[in-house]
Amino acid sequence: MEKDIVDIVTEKEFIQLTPVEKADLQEFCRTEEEFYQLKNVLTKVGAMTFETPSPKKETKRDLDTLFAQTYPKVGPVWHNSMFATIIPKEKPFYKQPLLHVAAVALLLLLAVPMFSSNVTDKSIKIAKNENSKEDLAETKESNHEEFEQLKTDDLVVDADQLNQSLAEETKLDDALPSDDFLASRATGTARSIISMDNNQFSTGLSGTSTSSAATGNVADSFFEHPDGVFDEEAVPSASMDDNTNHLTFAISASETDDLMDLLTVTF
Amino acid sequence: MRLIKPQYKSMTDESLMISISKGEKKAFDEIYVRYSSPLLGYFMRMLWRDREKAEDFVHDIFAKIIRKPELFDPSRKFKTWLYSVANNMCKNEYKKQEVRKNTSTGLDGHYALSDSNSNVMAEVQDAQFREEFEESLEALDAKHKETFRLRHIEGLSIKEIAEVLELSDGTVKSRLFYATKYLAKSLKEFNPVLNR
Repeated sequence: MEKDIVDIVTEKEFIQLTPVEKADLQEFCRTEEEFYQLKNVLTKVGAMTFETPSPKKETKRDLDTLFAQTYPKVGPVWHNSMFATIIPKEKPFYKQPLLHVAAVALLLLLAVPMFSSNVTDKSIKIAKNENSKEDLAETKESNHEEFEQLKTDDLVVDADQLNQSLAEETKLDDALPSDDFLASRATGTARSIISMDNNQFSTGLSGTSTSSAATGNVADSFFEHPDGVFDEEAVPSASMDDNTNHLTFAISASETDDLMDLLTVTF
Repeated sequence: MRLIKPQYKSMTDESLMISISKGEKKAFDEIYVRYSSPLLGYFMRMLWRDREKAEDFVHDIFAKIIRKPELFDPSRKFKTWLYSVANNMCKNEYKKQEVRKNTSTGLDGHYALSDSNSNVMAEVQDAQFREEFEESLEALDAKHKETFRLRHIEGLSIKEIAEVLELSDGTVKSRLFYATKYLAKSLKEFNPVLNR
């Protein structure tokens, strides 16, 4: 900004003036005396405080009336005045009474459940079965019936499974040579000795009655040896593995070829 | 409905004038707060310290703003527009007084200095200076007087004075320095440097 001559006069001393500034001031103050006269006046005027009186209140009142006449507002009706009260236009939304009322109402709404709950009641509440004894008896009976039914169903299922396995066993038996044939073959080989625990044998072949009978016949014919010879050492030991239902014979295969054939085919 | 209240205090004069033209009372109140006192002081100084007349002039200038806000050109600066209106009102008053002067004893009767009851020497000297200053200023012709007042009392810049008075900057400077030179001569006796 270009420096005003007034600023030059007020800020500088006469001896500090540059030739250019002196040339600018030439028109107004040629001598040092005139320069300081100017400086004095400008400094004093700058230091002077001038009153700024306030206008009368009447002046403002008249102007307010004039403003109201010049810019008349729409006549208020009841709902306008209500809205003007709760939603005043001149206030920002967060200062409007409607918002304040809504906030208080929300707080109350949230606070009511907190105060209404009876936290001081420390009486112990025990769960109570309200069903009558008759109902309990009925429930018991029905449970028993259900249990019996399930049991019967299980038995039916077991019987079905048993029948199925028997049928499968029968098929296998059909594929084998007949009992008589086996018995005859066993009897024919008198030197064959079979010793086994009948009980264990029958248990091991439970459900396979045909095989049991056949084996029984084999045993009977074996002990009905005409010589009545019982060679304990030669008696083959048989054992039944409970887990696998496999019957194991300890017998020399070379001595009982037919029986080995039978055993191999059967098991 | 407006969500955020307009901050009239932070609005510019020009924006407030636009709001006034839309009938916003608060905008008018803000303009009144900003300019009523400076205008009253200006009118008092320009109109021979006639307070009643100055009050009337303040009322008239704000009434003009209310009735015809469209007279203000928003591209202009409001302050210079307002002072140019005020200055024209004073000129009209001078003309009226010129007519009356021929039939009355003059305007000097209206002149009254502000009270200064201080006994301190410096303050007395200041009061004397002020008295002499006011007399000398009144003795100046109107065009120099108003230029000097606008510059040193109302605080307008040379550019603003040029706008108010519709003059060039150079003319304003010239008038301003003529007035200063005249005052310097008149107030020579108060120069502490020269009186040593």
